[in-house]
Amino acid sequence: MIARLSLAALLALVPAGAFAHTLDEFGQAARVSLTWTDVRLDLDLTPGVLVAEPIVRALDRDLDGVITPGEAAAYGQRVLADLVVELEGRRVAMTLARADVPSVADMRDGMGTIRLTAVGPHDARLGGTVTLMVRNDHAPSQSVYAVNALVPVDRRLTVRRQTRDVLQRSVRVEYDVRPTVAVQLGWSILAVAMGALVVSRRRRR
Amino acid sequence: MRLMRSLLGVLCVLVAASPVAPAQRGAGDPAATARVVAAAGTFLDTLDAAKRARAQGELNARTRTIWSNLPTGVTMQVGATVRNGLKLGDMTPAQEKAALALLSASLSTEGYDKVMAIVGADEALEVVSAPTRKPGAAIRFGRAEFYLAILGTPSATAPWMLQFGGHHLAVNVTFAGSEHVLAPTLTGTQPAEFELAGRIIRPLGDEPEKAFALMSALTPEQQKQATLGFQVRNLVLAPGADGQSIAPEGVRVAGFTPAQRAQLLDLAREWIGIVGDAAASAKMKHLEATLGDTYFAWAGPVAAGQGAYFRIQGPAAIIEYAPQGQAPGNTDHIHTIYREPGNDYAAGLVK
Repeated sequence: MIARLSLAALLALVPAGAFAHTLDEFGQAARVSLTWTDVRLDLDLTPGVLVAEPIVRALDRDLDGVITPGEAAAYGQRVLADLVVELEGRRVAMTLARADVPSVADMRDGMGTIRLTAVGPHDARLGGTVTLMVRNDHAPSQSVYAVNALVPVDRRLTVRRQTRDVLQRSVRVEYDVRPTVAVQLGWSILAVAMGALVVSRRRRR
Repeated sequence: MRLMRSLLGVLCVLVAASPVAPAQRGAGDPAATARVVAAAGTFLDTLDAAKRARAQGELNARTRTIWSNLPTGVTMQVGATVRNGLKLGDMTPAQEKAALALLSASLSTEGYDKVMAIVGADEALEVVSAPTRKPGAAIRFGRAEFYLAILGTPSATAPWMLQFGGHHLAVNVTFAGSEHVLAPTLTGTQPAEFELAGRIIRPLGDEPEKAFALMSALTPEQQKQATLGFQVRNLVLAPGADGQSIAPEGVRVAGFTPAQRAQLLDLAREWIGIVGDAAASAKMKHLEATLGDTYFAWAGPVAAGQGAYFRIQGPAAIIEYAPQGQAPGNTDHIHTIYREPGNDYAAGLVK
């Protein structure tokens, strides 16, 4: 009964399709990746139905109901300007690589997700432990944040620790940088084999 | 020369035994696969050519990813606008009976009951929401909007896939010979409980109770290690996150007592047990064997009855439970996800 009454009350306030999902929040979920040469940031932005209209207007600048690739890219650039990415304390210049925007209707129903990808090259010499910091300063007043470091594809890199603020607006990711065990073992065996070869040849003489 | 050959042999053995191990294979159950294949054939035989073309499609890297938690009428996270398959609302009673028989053959009894309870919850949602829906609105909830799809050709040997899903549900079972892989599968619900024929139905069963009981069973130090220290308001490895891996966080299960391990396994069984019994048993053994590298993480209140996020993550499986919604501690709207690292869509078994 309680569940049914709550649903009915919500439905009186918002479109029927929307109440099942977050209403008055702007969800921003980020995934960060580090490779030997680049930093990559994937950001999923999901405006709830009660906060969607300003986002729609920010995207659809000519208010024609259709968001063009150019409008999507322009919005993506504005979001990117609010993100701070630093590797070993040095700012990484991020470039927008993708801006996928859902339909205006989906966003107004609170179920559309804007997907942005940004990539930034770095010239840091990776060794020992390196720290990547990402901070999201976009739309702080109505946003709910999430940020996670993805396991690096490059096996020379391992996530040692992620430290986030309580709202997940920022994260410091510490990576260990080392050769893989297989590579280390391989070199060790090769060294032993070479040594054995040398010893063997000396004995023959 | 003999020494060189010996060393080369040792090197080969070490490379073969490297940490990149294939997904663990279970014992498999050929009889279960035969039953599913037969049920699939029976279902397909109920369909005319047009419906069959909708119900059965190609299995490839794109088609298998078309699933979502979102309802009909919303573009899915992967960009598709329509689910694979034929929806229950477009089936005759005989076709629906055969479809649900196929689903039942693919899952355990408990798994089928959970899935149908999720369908029931969405029907309850549709009953409440339909009267206030704007004319022409694309979004729909309810039983009629759940789709069943067969990707590939049902076979006792070659890989194929069954999908059953709708709002808050995406069951993806890949059949690879006698192996049945449940990952990735999403289960969720809103409302968390509803009344049907005088009974209270809780689609997600005892998941929250078991989780809170496990958290309560941890020592203060273990709870501290498990607690993420930041709010988590949604799934991390949600629909659309295929192929992504996140670094494990939380408390390592290696330090759990036998009783705590048993509780964690019992909690994980709520998801792993959705698939048929033989496959579930094999996966549970895999999880048990890898508990040493498994982590349990928590975010939110620890008092039972409130909403909190938790995650079980290890080499065998990753399970997330994420309350949704406006109020902190919300318990009425839940999304969960089940994945197997390196083995979603049986990728570890199927080349």
